[in-house]
Amino acid sequence: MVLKRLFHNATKIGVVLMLLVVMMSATVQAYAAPDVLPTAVESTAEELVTLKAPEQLITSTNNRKLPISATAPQGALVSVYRYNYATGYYHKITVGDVPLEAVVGSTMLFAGQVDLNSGMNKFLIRGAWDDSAYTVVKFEVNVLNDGFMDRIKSVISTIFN
Amino acid sequence: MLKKSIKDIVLALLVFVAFVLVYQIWFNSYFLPNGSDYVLKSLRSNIITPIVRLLEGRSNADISQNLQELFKPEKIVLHVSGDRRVYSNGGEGFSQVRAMAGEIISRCMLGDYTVKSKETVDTESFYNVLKGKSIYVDYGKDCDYRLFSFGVCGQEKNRFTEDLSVIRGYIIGLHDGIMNDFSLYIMDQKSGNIYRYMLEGDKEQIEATMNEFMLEPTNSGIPSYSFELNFHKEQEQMETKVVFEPLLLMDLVPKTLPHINSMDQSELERLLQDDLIDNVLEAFSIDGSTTRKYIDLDNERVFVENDATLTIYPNGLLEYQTVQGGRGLNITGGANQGVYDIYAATTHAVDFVARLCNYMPPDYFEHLQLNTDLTEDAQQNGVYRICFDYCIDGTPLQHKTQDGYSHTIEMEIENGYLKSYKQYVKDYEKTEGVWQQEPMLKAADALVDAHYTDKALYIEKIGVCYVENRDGTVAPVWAAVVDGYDRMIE
Repeated sequence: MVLKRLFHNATKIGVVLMLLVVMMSATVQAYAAPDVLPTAVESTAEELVTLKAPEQLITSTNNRKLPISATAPQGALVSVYRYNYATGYYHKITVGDVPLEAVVGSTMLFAGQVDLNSGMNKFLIRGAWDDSAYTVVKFEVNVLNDGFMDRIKSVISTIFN
Repeated sequence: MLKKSIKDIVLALLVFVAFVLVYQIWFNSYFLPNGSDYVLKSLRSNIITPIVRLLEGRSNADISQNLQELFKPEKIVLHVSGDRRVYSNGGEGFSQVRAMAGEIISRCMLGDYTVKSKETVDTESFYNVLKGKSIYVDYGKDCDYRLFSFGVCGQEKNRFTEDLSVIRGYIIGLHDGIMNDFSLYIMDQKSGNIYRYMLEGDKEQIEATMNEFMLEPTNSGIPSYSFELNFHKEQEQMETKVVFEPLLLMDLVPKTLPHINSMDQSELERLLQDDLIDNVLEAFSIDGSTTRKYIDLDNERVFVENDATLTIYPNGLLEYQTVQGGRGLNITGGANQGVYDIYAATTHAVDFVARLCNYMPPDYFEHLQLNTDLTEDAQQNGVYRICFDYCIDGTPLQHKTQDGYSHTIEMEIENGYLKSYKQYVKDYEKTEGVWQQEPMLKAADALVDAHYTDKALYIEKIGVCYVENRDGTVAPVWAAVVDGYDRMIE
């Protein structure tokens, strides 16, 4: 009789624990942004992320690093992706195996830094509540190589001399 | 006849007694503890030297060389072709970069470079200079321009004195053009004017030197100014809870800090032996042989004078406190106290600290950094509070106390008299292991959680600082200045 009751209680506790695990994993899943996004991805919600830097959606630079900043509502998950020309998809950027993403805190600010490759770099920043409600912003940064800059300088120098 | 003789004898006796008493007072009494030395010192410092100085006027020779040594920038930022390097006080390469920047600004001030033009520019132009080839020297505090001028070029006045009264730093901007000139940008904190001086100089040489520094490999990311991230202004689309000072540098990739250990207790006890105490007593003009002294239950050594108390705590804290209404210790070294300003107060403070540091562990003085604003406060004429932090690789260290946090040295000076003085005489060393630094935005989140009400917080400064806890352990925490208040984020 006692054994039966114990077994019954243990079963109850087991069910509750399993439910808790399922609920927690569901919550975690809601906050895990996909690693890869198709190029055609579009926003499903408004203003879950606003790009602050770079200020323009198409820019040029001769820097090798790009600071990225954004605003987002508190609790939103902000992730940064880079377009991969080989696969034709946006891939989540990782910095030393750590994805460039964060759940935005009370400041409602997000900031990160990415390495730039030569030529055109295409990025996407995604702010999301869950898998169904998210905002995406695509932007491009063209890296001018030093040779190009040097040629401009030499042309100016020739004109002045 | 007999009566006259008795009178003469009495007179002679009285004269003799007078001599004896004078001798007693001058050489053996408690009133003049060091006898003739004291009399001579007093004469020299209170009468002869002031008269000589009055006749000579204040010259550069009066000004402390220690000030030039301690008047260091908090950080120097080099920016070349999209690459940016930050050198913090005490960190690797800092002294070389400081020497390079110091030579350029010094030559600018002393007139080695011809000023081609001078104009005022707006803040956007000022910030944009930092995106191009530039050297940004940040002192991290407001500085009286005369102090700055002396600290940099050894002269109280120079060609920019008319424009500037309080500054925090300067930028040397190098354009990509072919002309060999460069620009010096300085903001006057009092008027808010930003001056751009275009100088005919050796731009190519400066560029070559900068490039040499940039060749050094670095593993860390490139920090961004808050204005580059657009975190320096209120957001348009949504509620703004925090605004950062535009020139605040933000690390966008996680950084690490070395583990720090403070001097262990046995080593500290060795340091606090009689030799150090004798020297400290001498620095505070306390005569150990005549002053009341006792050791209390907590093993604190207390020296009580007429108007001040000096306590040496077992944890290495040295505290001097004048009683209310007491005059305090004269730290001017006999200098003219007629016009006592921040210039004189800082100089005397630095000299006093340097003298005490002679008895501290080697290199202790080199770790120190002036921490407080070095400007006149109209509300408190002649009264100055000057603090120093002990820095490890550019990271300052503070001490947790019962009432909050304390700098390594805190002193209060009133018209040349030291009213109070606190110093931790401990030394620190790096050990194996590193701490992973939390992202700066996480620290800002904590500030918002703790202090935001309905107006956006203005973060003037934020950075990591080591804190020595009361049990002697050291750990890093974020420290910030928010809306004028010091905040620690633990």
